[in-house]
Amino acid sequence: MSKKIVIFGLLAPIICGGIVIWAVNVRAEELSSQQLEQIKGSCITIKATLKQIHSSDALLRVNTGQIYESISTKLMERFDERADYNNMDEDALVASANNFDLLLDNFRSDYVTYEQQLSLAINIDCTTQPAAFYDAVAQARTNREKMHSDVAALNQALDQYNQVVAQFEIDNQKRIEELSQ
Amino acid sequence: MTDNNQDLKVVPFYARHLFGVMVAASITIAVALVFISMGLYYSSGASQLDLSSPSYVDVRNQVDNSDDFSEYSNTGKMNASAVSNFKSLFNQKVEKIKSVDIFGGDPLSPESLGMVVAAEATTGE
Repeated sequence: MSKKIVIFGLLAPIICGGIVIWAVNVRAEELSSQQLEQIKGSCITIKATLKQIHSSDALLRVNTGQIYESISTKLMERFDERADYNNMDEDALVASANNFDLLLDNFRSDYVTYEQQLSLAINIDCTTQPAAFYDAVAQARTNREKMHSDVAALNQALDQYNQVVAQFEIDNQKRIEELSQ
Repeated sequence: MTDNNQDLKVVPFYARHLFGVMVAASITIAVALVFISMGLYYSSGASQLDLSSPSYVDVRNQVDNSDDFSEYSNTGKMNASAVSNFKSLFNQKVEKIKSVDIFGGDPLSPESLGMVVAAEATTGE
């Protein structure tokens, strides 16, 4: 048993090292020398574009975040509280609103990650480190795609809340009619 | 003369330089609070949304400051009118936010940024 552990202990670093070397080689093959030259040559233009994207995405984050925040605090929370105020079962509404808040937290934290990565890419000197710059932009791109899927999830959660409200209306139809008189 | 020397020995250093100690303590506390607040500013992500920073000068005036969310009351009767009012406000906001493809497109792709050589770009890499 102990012999197996020793063999595994010796082989594991070799295997891990091999994987790392293979990954580095794959990266080197991906970026041809022509492409590296292209990045170096267009460095200033690429950086200017990245800075523009950085600014416009910050604006998008602020404006979008405000709307989502307001939908949560000024509409959903208040509707749930009003249901509770009228002694109606608001559990499903609260659960759906909590789910939305959770997704909103993801949206916030994913933006922090994305912005940090984009700033990192902007700060890399692409004339001297084109490969590192390419990788940093590629990672920022992945993080931006994550933001897009976060927004899709938030919009889906809004649709879900809408359905829960419709169900709430059906379940409490009698009581709503009583209160309407 | 002997009495004066004895008095000096009895009174501790900080008491003899009380004003100086107070100034030093105030500065130390202020510096510590600045570090704590700056730490919170960066760690909370507030710095990334602070459009007053110089890098966001171009977009600063495009921030949507309009608070057009009609106040929906959290008290009052949950009657048909209250439900209908909520649904109307909610759907209005949802439609507004869905009308924009937020963080859509692919502006960071190598093609969009011009990071691929012309031949690769035309053959789709």
